Amino acid sequence: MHGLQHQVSVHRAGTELILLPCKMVWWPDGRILFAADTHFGKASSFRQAGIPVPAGTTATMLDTLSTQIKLFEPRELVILGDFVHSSRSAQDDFESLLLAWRASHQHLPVTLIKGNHDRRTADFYGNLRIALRKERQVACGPFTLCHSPQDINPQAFNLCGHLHPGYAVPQLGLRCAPCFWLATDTLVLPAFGVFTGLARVTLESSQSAILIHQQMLLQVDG
Amino acid sequence: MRASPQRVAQATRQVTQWFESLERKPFAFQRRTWRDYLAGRHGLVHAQTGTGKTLAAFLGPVIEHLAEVDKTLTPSPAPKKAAPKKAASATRSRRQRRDSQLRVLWITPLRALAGDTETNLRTALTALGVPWLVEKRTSDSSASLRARQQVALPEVLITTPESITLQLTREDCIQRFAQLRLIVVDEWHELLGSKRGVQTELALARLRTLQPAARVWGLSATIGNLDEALVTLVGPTAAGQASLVRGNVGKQMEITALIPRDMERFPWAGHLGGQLVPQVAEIVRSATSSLVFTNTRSQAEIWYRSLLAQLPDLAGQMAVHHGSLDQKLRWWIEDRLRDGRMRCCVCTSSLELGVDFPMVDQVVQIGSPKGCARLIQRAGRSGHRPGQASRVTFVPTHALELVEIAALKRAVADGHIERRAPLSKPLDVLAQHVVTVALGGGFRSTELLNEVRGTAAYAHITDQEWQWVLDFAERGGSSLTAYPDYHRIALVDGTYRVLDRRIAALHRMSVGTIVSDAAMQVRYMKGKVVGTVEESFVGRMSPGDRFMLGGKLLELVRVHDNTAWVKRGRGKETAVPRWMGGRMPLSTELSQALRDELERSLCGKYVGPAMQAVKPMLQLQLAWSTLPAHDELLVERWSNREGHHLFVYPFEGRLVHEGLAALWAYRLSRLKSISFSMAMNDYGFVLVSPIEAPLDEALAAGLLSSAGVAEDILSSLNATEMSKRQFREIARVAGLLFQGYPGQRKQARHLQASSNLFYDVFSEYDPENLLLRQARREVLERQLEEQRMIAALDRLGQSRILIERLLRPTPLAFPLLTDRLRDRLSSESFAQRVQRLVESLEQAANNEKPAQDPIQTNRS
Repeated sequence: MHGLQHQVSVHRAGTELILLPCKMVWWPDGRILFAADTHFGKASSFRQAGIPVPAGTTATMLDTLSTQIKLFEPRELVILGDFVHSSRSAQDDFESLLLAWRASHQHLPVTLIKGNHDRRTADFYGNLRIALRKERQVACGPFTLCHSPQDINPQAFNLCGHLHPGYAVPQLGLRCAPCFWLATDTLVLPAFGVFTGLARVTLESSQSAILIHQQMLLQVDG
Repeated sequence: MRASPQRVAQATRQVTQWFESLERKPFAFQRRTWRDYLAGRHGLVHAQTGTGKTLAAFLGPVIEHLAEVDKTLTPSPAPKKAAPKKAASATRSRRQRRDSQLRVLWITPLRALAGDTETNLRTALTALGVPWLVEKRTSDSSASLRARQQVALPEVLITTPESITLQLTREDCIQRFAQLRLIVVDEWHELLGSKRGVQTELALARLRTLQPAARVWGLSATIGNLDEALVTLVGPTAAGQASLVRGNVGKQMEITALIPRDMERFPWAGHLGGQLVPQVAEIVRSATSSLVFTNTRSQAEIWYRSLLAQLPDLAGQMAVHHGSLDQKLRWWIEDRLRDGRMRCCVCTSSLELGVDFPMVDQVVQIGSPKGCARLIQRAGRSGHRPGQASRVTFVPTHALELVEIAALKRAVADGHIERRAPLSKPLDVLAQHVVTVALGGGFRSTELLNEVRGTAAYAHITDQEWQWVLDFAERGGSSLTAYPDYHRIALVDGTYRVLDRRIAALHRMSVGTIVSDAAMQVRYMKGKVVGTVEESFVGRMSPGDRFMLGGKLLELVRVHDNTAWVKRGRGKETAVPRWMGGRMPLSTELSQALRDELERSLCGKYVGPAMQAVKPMLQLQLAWSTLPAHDELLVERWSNREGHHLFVYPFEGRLVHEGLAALWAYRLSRLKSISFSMAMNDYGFVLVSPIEAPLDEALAAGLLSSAGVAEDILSSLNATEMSKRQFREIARVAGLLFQGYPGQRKQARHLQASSNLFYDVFSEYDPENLLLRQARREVLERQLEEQRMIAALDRLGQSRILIERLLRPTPLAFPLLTDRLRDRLSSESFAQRVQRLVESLEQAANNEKPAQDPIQTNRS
């Protein structure tokens, strides 16, 4: 176990990845920011079904994205699937927020690796000028990008999402918290969405969990 | 059309004649209940189970009916034989069904009771020639029955609080209850003090509005606050006119304690019990049929196995019964208990209530029942045959429990029965209720507020709280933080209604306040369900591990789809499942009785065999330290290489001690920065620290002061964590957690989120949400028993503090010491360590001359 850190650097595939406590990954060599499982509109679809979820989650997420974009000035933003939560779209308030956000970063290319939740029409992504990649695996520099860890390329180092990994350290009194899950050939990103659940992972000997605790990172090796 | 007094008298005679034909006479309390019902009064009947409460409540409206109908027009068949069960409904034509009108609504908290009640009521109706339909409506009811009830309700409907709430979501519920005369709430003491009870209160208030002529009668076991139970049942306004009817008591109860042959001086929780298995086996063999009650499900599994090993010839006539076993298996066991084919059943509170087992002639209680009401209830499960006494044999699991049993006997004899405190305005239940009423025809705000204020639970709800509940249902949060796209209810022309059919369906799916644990089903590979265990238990196991469930050795094969697949195991088990909850704290009444008992022993009075048995141990306690009188608090200090121990004995029950320990640790560490580890049981708690705690200084600075308790407690405990756990129930009741449509869980998954997630999102984005505040309040009131803790602090604040420095741990200290060890050591090294400790203390005790006369300590 290492101490609490502001960022964790991971060396794989001959390059460096920086894991950030905002649940994103920065690749300095390729100048790309990665996030996974944003699940935009999840709170809204709950509200439409009569389940009260407070408003404000979408704005928070977009603020975080903007802050990181200003900080790193990336060449591209890549979302590793599950960009929006549900296929219904009758009266979504979050769409206008997304469009406004997009307008404020209009020169930034945004790519989405299609996830199982991404069932919106082509118009939706077109309006947001998001490049939708429907392939299971997308090559990106030395990495392979995919949504689900089931689709990884064993010959490469993979970045993916889908799992919403979480890890708990009861000895330290830490409840299950979102974490990056790092194996020799794969890095699973935590879900970026504020209103998303967690799947608790168990670590094998070659794996690590880098969990997020109060805007800091704590690495636990299996 | 009220019948004339003569006709009522005639009808009552007819009922009395039926009793006489069975060679019985109506009891005085039954006659009084009929009379009061016919006079239009509400009421509460309390008596032990199996004493005729059912007929007391039910025959009132039957007499009313007999007096109303014109005999000349209704040919009364009065069959000689009881008609077969289903005959009544089978012979009724569809037209009659359409004409039937609900007269008696029978609400029972236990689905399992519904069947027996149905039989009892039908028997009475058949014998008296009343052609009423009697039907059940529970979550188990068949689709065809539901469809028939869709057309019209029968005259008598037996149902659960959840099902009646569902009836209230129907648009036409006013018509359906137009002829309602009587609402019976069975086992009211079971509902009281729970959110289900509050849900029932709200439903009763609604029914009284829909049909003001309906009378409400509750049936209850004896509890310490019957007056309050009555007020809660009928509402504060009607309570003045309502009757409290005491059923005939007169049933004898024999309480005996099983005294261990070798009395152990040092009590070690759970240790003594195992040694007593052969003695328990003997008394099981001597009885026709025994119920062996344990306090936890794990204990039930362990005792079943140990007893079976002692009584191998009773295999097949013994069973284990608890709430985590499959319902079918439980029914099977209950059937066999009823007809006497079961010689012995090891069970938990799962068999505490419900149907009578006339063949059971003995109850064995393993460990302290922790309260008088529970002991009486459990004892009452035996001796149902006329003239037979209830027999309960108490098996102590450690020596100090012998003091508890002596205290219990005295408290029961003195009639000190526990109260069941009703809940005060839980907003989650109300949030659910307003949606129910909005569905069931809609409501106007002021009208429903008045109705809700008519219940005891919400009598003092403020206008602001009411407005918040309305806002929560209408907009999600208070008006300032309206949630976009959200409308559970909507205001149309001054009336709140549910407009969205999807929301209506969702609400009907989630009615109720029962929160099931995160349980995982245990199933044989061939498909049969064994029962459930907690997810966390399975989480710690790997395939091939073996565990006991339902008395069977099972081997885990794999975990898939929230199911633990198992096959029959061979060899030794590797784990005993543990289920959360279950550890009941000592009740206030019993705590008091226990302190009295100890004070008596301080004066050298050891009354009864139990106290005689425990005498050597208490004398040693007096020799090495002392015992507190009722106006004293004992504190013992002892150091070893593990640290400085502070043993404190308020004798107030585990929950209060948990709060007190945290409070003391917090207040002590404010004076001097120290970190404590702690352990607690029903008698006291221990704080262990690497340096000595500044006790005298802290006592002077108000260590025992009840001022600022709530704030100190919340800052001392991991209050957020506790609130989060409590929030799970609130989230479920308030309709945040959607459990999915039956049979299509997958489709609804996109609407499922954990209560933790809701808690976090509310804390972040809507911190003023009253449900969060409710979670904190429930933690204080229910988990920490705040009121009881304040009362305890007030008592302790008046007490003289006795501080004893110890050379070695005393008999009172020993269980706390081992509890602390247990948390840190593996079970094997734990047993070895404890054994060594016992030996060294025994040696010390034997080397010392026993104290000549323990009374002559330097106190009087």
